[in-house]
Amino acid sequence: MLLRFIAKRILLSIPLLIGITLVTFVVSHLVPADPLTAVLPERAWNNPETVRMYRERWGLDRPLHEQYLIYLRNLVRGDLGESYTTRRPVGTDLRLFFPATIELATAAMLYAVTVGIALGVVSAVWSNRLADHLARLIALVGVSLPVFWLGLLALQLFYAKLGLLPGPGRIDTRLVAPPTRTGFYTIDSLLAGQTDVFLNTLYHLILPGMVLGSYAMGIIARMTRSSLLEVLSLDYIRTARAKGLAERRVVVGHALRNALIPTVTVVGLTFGSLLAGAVLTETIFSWPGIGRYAVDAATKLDLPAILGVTLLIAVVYVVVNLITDILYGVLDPRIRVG
Amino acid sequence: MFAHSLMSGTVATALGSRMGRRRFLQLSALGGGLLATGSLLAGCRGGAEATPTTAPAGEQPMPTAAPAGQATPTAAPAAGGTFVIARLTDTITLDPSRQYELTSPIVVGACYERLVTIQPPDIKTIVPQLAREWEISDDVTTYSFTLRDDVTFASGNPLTAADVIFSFNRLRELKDNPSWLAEVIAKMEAPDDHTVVVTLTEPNAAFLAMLVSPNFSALDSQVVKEHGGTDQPGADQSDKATEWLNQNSAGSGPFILKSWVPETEIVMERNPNYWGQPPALDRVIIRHVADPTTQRQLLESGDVDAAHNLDADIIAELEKAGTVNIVRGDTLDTEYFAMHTSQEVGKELADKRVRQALAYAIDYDGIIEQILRGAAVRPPSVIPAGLVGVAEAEPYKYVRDVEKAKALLAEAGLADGFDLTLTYSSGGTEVGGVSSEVLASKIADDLSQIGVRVTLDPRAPDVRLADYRAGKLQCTISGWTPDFLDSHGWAIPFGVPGEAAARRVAYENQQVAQLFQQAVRVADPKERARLYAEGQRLLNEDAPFLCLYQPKAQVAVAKSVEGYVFDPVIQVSVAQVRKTS
Repeated sequence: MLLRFIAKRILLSIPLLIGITLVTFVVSHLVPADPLTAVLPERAWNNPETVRMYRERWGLDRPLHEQYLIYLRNLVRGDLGESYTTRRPVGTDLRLFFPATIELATAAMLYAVTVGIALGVVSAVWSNRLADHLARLIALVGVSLPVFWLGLLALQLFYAKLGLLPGPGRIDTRLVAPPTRTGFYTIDSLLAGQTDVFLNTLYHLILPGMVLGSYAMGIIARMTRSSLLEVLSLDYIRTARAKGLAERRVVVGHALRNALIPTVTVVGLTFGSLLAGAVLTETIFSWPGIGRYAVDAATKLDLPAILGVTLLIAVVYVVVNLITDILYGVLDPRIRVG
Repeated sequence: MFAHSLMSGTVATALGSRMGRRRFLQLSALGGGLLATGSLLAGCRGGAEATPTTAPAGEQPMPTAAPAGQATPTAAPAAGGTFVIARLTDTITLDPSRQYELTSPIVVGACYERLVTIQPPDIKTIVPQLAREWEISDDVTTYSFTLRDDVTFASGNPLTAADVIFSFNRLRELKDNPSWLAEVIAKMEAPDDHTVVVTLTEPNAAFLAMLVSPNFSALDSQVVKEHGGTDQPGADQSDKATEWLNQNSAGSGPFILKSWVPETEIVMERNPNYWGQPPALDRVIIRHVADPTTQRQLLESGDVDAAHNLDADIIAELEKAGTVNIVRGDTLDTEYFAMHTSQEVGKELADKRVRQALAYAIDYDGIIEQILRGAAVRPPSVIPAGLVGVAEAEPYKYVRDVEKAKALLAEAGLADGFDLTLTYSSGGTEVGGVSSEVLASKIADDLSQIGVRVTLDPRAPDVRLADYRAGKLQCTISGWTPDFLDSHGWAIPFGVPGEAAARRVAYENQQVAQLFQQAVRVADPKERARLYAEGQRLLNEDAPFLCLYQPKAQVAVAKSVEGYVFDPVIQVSVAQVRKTS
C-alpha cells in the first residue's frame, strides 16, 4: 500500500519537475543579457571565432525551443549540462556543494525541533505565566530577526568578541578537509578515522545551525504551543487527569502526540525552505553550500547551473512533502494511507 | 593575536573557565538538543584558543622541531608552520596552461616556476628563474634561453628544454583563455638539453615580459603525459590532464599542490625535493572567504594569517588599531572613464574639445583621497605606472582646471552645458574595491560644476559590460586588469582601431596606432619608452579614455608574518613568507 502511494506520488511529480524546468528556462531567457559576458575574458571578445566556439559549446547558437529540447533530452540521461562559470558538469557541482547545505540544514532542523518543541511545551503547560512569556519572547525573536543580522551579530559576539564558538567555515582554518567520499564532513571524517576533524565539524555546525534554525524554531514553538493548548483543553485529557495520571504523562504521553501533527507539517515545509533559504547563512559563515552556488549562478546568468539548482530544490520539496505525509500516518493511524 | 589571547583570558576569568562556558551554552541553547554537543566539545577548542597560530595537534605530520636541526645561519626562531590566507577565490582551474583568473596564480607561482620572473616592487627588471641567461636578437624575433642544469621537478625528473617546449606548445594548443599569449611563437628548438630557442611570428620586444606570466610555467612533461596531457595539435579535445592538475601539481616550485575543494580551500605543502633554497613554511592554505568583515574577524582572531579582500574602510580601522600589519603594493589594474567618439553614440562627446573639457573637469585627486583613502596612484594614461614609457608620459597627464574646462566647452559652442548619460554597473564594484555607484556619482558631481547635466544610468553589471562592448554607451566607467607585464598589453587594445577597448568607443587615430605598433618592434628600451610616451601624448589629446586611478593592493597580515610582499603577477610569493613566534 505504502509503496504504491509513494510510486504514485513520484509519478505525479514528473510533470511538475518538467514544468519547473520550462518556467525557469523561459524566465532566464527574458533577462536582456548575454550569459557569455560574465564568462569570456576581455581578449576573447576580440576573436569572433572564440565567441562562436563558446556559443556552440553550450548550444547558445540554437533557437530557444531547440535549446530546451536538447536540455530535456540530456536531462533524461541524467546529464544536467556544464556550468558556464565553473566549467564543471552541473551534477558534479551539485554533489560538491549540496552535502554542506544538508549538513547545515540538518543541524538547524535539529536545533529548531528540539528547542522549538521544548519551548512550545513550556509555554503551553505554564500558559500565561512568566515561563510562557519568556518562551514566547524567544520564539518571537527567532521569527522576526533577519537571518543576516542575527548571523553577523552571533559571529561578532560568540566568535570575535568572546571566542566561545569557532568562526566561519566548516572546519578550523588550519585544518584540512577530510578526503572526499560523501561530501559530508561528519561522515567523511569518521570514514577517514579523523575524530579531531569530526568533532571540529560538529563544533562548527553549532553557530550557523542555530542562526539558520532560529526562524523554524520560533514557528515550531508557536505551533506547538497553540496546538498543545487546544489539545490540553479536550475531554480525553480531562479524563486522563481525572484518572490521576501524573501531569508529565498527560502532557508528554497523551497530549503532545496529538498536538504534534500540525508541527510536523511545519517542520516538513520549513526543512525545504531551510535548504533553499540557506543563502544568507552560507554567505555569512563562508559555508560552501548550494545557496551560495545558486546566487553565483543567478548573478552570472549561468543557465545550466540555475536549472540544476532549481530542479534539485524542487526534488527536495517533493521528497520532504512525501516524508511529511508518511509521518502523519505514524503519528495518527486514522490518516494512514490506504 | 595579543588582543585575542588577552580576550580569551578575560572571558575565562569572567565565566569561570569551562564550567562557565558550559553554562553559557546552556543559556543560549536553552537546554536544547545541541547542549549535549556543546558540552562534549567544550574542551575541544581550548588549545587552539590559547595559541591561535599553532596548528592543531595531530594535524602536523612534521612538527616544527624537525627543521630546527638543519638551522640555516639566518634562521629566525621557529620556522615552518601553516600559513592561511583568507581570500575571495575565483579559481576555475589550477592547470597553469588554462588558468586565467586572479587566485590561481598564487598556486601556480608557488608550485611551478617560469623561465624568468620579477622581484617586486620592481616590476620593470626581469630576472632569471629557470633560465640562467638569455640572448635576444636585434630584430627582437629570436629569444635563446640557457636553462639551469640543476633543476629537478617535484617528481625527481630533471628539467630539460623538452619540458619547456612541451609546456609552451600545450599552452597554445589547448585553445583556452590564455592560449593567445603563446600565439606569438612561430617555432621552438632545443639545440641541446638546456637550450631553448624561441622564434616569434613577428618582432616582439614584450615577449620576455610575457614570459613572466604564470601561464608560461614549465610543466614536468613526463608527469603531465602520464596523466593524459598532450601538446599536439588538437589538444583542446585530446588533453585529459587538467582534472589531475586541478588536484596535483607537476612543477619544480618550492611547494606542491595537495588538494583543491572549490569555493572552500586550496592546500599546498612544502616540496621536499625542492632544488633551491627550501621555503620556511610547511603548508599554505588558501581559504575561500567571500565577506570582507568575516576576513577581518578571522584575521583578528588569529585564525588566518593574511586577509586579501578588505575594503578601504576596514584597512583604515585596522591600521588605527595597530593589531595587524598592512602590506601595500602597486597593482596593474586601471580604472578609466570612457567616452564614445562617434556623433551617433557619443553625441556632444564626438567633439574632441568636449572630451578634453570633461578631462579637465574631473577631480582626480578627490577620487583618490576621498573614495580610495589615498590608496591609489594615477598614471598619465590607461597604461599603469611602473611600465615602460609611462614615467616619460607624465607631462601629458590631465590635472583639474575648471576654468579651462569651461573655456573648452564654450569654444565647442556648449557654454550652457549639455546633457550626458553616464552608464555604470548597478550594485557593481570597480577595480580597487570601489563601489561603481559612488564613483559614478562623484564624476557626475564634478561634471556638473562645468554645466554638464549628467543622467546616471545604472545597469546590471553584465548588461552594462555587454552594452559597452557593443559600443552602445555614450560614456561609462570601466576597469582593466593586466594580461602581461608590458605596456604593449595596454597600448594595443586601447590605441589600435578595432581592438578590444578602442572599438567600444569607436576610437581611431592611425598615428597613435602606428606609434604603439612600432614600439613593440624595437629592442632599445629608451626608444620604446619614447614611442609609448609619444603615443600616450596623442591618446590623451584625443581623450577617448581618461585614467581615473590605479589602485594599490592592500593586504592585512598578522604581526607574526615576515617577508610578505605584494606581487602584481602572482599576488604573493609564498616561498618568501615566514612566520615568527
